[in-house]
Amino acid sequence: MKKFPFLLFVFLFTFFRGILAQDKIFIPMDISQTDHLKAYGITFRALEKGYKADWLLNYKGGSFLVDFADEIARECLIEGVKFEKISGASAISIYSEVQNDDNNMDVIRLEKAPKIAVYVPPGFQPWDDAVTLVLEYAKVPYDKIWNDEILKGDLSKYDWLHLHHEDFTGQYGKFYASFSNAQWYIEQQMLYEKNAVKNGFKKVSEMMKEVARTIKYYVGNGGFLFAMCSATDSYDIALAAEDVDICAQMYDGDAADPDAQKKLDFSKTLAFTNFKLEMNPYIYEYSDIDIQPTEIGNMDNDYFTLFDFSAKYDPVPTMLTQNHANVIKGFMGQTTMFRRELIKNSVIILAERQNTNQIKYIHGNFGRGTFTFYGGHDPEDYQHAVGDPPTDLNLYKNSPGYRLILNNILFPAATKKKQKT
Amino acid sequence: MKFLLTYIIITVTLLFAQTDPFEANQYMLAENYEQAGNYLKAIEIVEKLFQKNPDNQNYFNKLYNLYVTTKKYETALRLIEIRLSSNPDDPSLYGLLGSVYYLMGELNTAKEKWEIPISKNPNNPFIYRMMANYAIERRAFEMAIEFLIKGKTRSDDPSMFAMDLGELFMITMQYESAIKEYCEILVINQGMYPVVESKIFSFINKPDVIQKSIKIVGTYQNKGLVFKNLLAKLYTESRQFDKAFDLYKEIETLQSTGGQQILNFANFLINENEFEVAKKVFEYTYIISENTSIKASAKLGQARTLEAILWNNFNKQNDVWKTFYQPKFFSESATKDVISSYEEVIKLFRYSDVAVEALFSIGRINFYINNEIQKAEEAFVEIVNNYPTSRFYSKSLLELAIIKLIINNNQEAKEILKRIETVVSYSDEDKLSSYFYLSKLYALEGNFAAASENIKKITSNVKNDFTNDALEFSLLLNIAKNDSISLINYAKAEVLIITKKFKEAQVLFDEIALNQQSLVFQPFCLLKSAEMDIALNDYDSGMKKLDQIYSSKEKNIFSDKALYLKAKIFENAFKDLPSAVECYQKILIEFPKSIYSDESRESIIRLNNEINVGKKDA
Repeated sequence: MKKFPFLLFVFLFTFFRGILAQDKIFIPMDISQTDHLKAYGITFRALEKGYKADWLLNYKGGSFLVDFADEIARECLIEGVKFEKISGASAISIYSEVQNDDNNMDVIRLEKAPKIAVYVPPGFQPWDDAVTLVLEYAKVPYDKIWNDEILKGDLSKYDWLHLHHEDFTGQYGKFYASFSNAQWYIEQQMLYEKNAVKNGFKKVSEMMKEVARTIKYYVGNGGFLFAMCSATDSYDIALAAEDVDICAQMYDGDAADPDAQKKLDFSKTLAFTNFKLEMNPYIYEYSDIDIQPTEIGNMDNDYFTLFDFSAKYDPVPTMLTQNHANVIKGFMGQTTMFRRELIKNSVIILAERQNTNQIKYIHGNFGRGTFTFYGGHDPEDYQHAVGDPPTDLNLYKNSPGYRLILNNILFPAATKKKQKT
Repeated sequence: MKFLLTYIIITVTLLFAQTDPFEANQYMLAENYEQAGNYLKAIEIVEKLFQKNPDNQNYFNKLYNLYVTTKKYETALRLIEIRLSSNPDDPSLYGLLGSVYYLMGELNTAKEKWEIPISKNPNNPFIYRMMANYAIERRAFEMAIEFLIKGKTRSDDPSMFAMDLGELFMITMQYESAIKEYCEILVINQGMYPVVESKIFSFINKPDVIQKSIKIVGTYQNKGLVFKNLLAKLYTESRQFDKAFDLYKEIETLQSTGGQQILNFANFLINENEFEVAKKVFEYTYIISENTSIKASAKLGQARTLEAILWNNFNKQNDVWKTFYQPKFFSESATKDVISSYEEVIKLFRYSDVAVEALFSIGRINFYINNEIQKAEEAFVEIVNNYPTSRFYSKSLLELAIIKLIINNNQEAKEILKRIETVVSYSDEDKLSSYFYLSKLYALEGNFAAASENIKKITSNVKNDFTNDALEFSLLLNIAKNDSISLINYAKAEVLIITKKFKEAQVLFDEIALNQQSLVFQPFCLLKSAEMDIALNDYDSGMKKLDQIYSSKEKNIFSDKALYLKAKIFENAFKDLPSAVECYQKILIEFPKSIYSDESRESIIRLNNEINVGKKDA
């Protein structure tokens, strides 16, 4: 017992000596930040270079505290990211405020930059996808992978996988009615058909189901899946329709199973259940999961609200909802929002359109991994249409909608902590 | 009359034959079941109808579609075979047969079935196309291509296959083959050129396709003018402008369009800022064209191109990175061609806006590039006297005012500047420039109230290039009114800068700075003096003064500017890129809100790239 005070002293001395000796770079993420999006890139690259970083949940908009280094400070200056050089003592003061039980805040240590894969077909342009757009802007490195890589097992090389407006049902986005004669649609269908043959599948829909299964296996084994736009519902539909043909003749050459709806297996999906398929091949919709524009009404009233979580008890949803704004302008996509009654009970709702059944952002666990689905196409382009010019993120450096995407890339870098009991 | 009677009898008979009310109702009922998704019930009804009337094509088609929809492929096969037994030469039945086998995944059998009508009618081109269509319907594009190629070799009219083949090659992304097919179409029918061009240009932006297209189209060059035209467009698209120009010359020699096509090409080059090639093209157009309107347009284009090249060269020869610089003027021989080109334009387009533009350009070249002030003045005076409604009127007034300042006729300069405000259609830029010069001239006279008034007109609009300079001058006017002698001297020095008398201006700035009672002026004068050193290439002295300003940090409002100028000297005069980067970084660190921040950020990235490239090269 007598040894205890001495041991405590040694522990405290060792812990604080490290901190006191080390200046820190404090990157505020509240409204004072000049470029929120690039701040994530700075933190990500600091991790890649081996510096330690802490994510101060709910402290000044979810700020970052990174070991001081000239190269990081210089990078902040060049990229126009607001930062402060603070002493070890000031850092301790921040840590103690954040870890105080009276405050809904916490510190999350970021250990290692995750390896990121983005699922995109060959010939894709960065602006086709909000995630790649923001990764490029924030200068976060990522690899592009497609069906070949997934089917040969390359997913195990990555910590984080992103899916965007891909269609896992094999119906080419259900663009048939509007775009079947467009050159890009013809080429896209050809590309997928060739790819299916190359990978030994008779039909594209069969290959996409295998891709969906492989991704599910990856998540089950500890992978982080982030999906936006139509990749969210089409992915779950593909899983539910594993043993049934839901594609009409113009998509896979033969007719869909007339009893497809009855044959869906909702136990196989990650997030959605009891949804009803849209079997008309000419209608640009997969199912009733997606909220229709008529239900949203006037775009001026389209805002969604982030939920507040307990930073100390629910760190994961807290990380995913870090933002300098709580109410965020909505944006549409092929899949804009999810119908509340069709979301499984096990899934956590991160953002909703208040007082409606319209859910924007959800998160859940599957096996040892997690999945996060975010509805809509481009957070800064309300109605992004095929062929529209890309969004210039230099004009949206403080976009709260884009921030939600970047929360997801840092979240896999977090060290798992034991939950308080 | 007999013919009409026969026609009516046949039509009525057919009509009655098809409208058995019970059968029609049953058929409609089956269709309703089909639409409701109850395929089994629909099949049950149509099967009965078909058994009753096996020759009815509608019942056959409906039954076939229902079997395929419900994936009863074996039954569909039996249905077709029954019909084939009575119609063994019907190619469409083989087409359907092949389709069903294809759906069953038996691709080889499908192909065999589709080939049967072809082998029975090897000389009928329509059979090849018909079977290809069945294959296309099943997205068996490679088989369709095979059928069409066979048909093409057997046909007297290969062009009827080439278009389909081109389309299929395009869909399957076999672009080289597609281009060859489209070229074959052109060999046979040159009237198809617009269609072929639009088809080829729809996929030309795919990786490597343009180079391959050039190679293929090049082999057809001798088969007609259309190929040369197509090749010229492909060269233009791949930015091989000289090669495109050579081809357009050839086309012009062979076709004699009067130069219109080549003029369009030249105008395109100007828009692309390809002045050197544009110059050659305009010259050539001018020589070959007999049409006066094309000739005139070519001359105007030629003059504009020559001027753009001249200004580029002039900027390269001069230190345009400096705030102020002593121009290295060109001799008259260097500008002779441009000026004579513009003189010809004036003759060709007499009294038009183009002629005024040409005259204005001549004036500016004489003034800024040749230092021929008198000639320049003549040009501007001519515009002012003869073209008061032209958009170059106020611009010419402004240039005239600057000339008057240079020849020390400040009073006349002031009067001219005042006239700019009275012009109805003057541009904002001209107006703001005139206010800026006027304020300095009024300050020179000691009329600080009028000087302030003119400066206010600029600072009320913050989105213009003069705002910062105007704000600086306004600051001095407000805080140093009591030290009127220094203020007048400062204004005098500023006017000397306009007249490029940098040494004299520096003497004045230094005098003001030395005056212990003119403390307010010191930071301004020190910076101006440093800028004069830079203008006079005395970089060491300039650097010392800039260091002095920078070392005052926040006490001197020009500390960030001093750093910025230091960076510029390192970058452009000393070619010491790492030191330049260091200065730019200091701006970002120490003056994050500086107006030079954005430019510093961009310069750091650009210079770091240059440094890295240099390292790689070494």
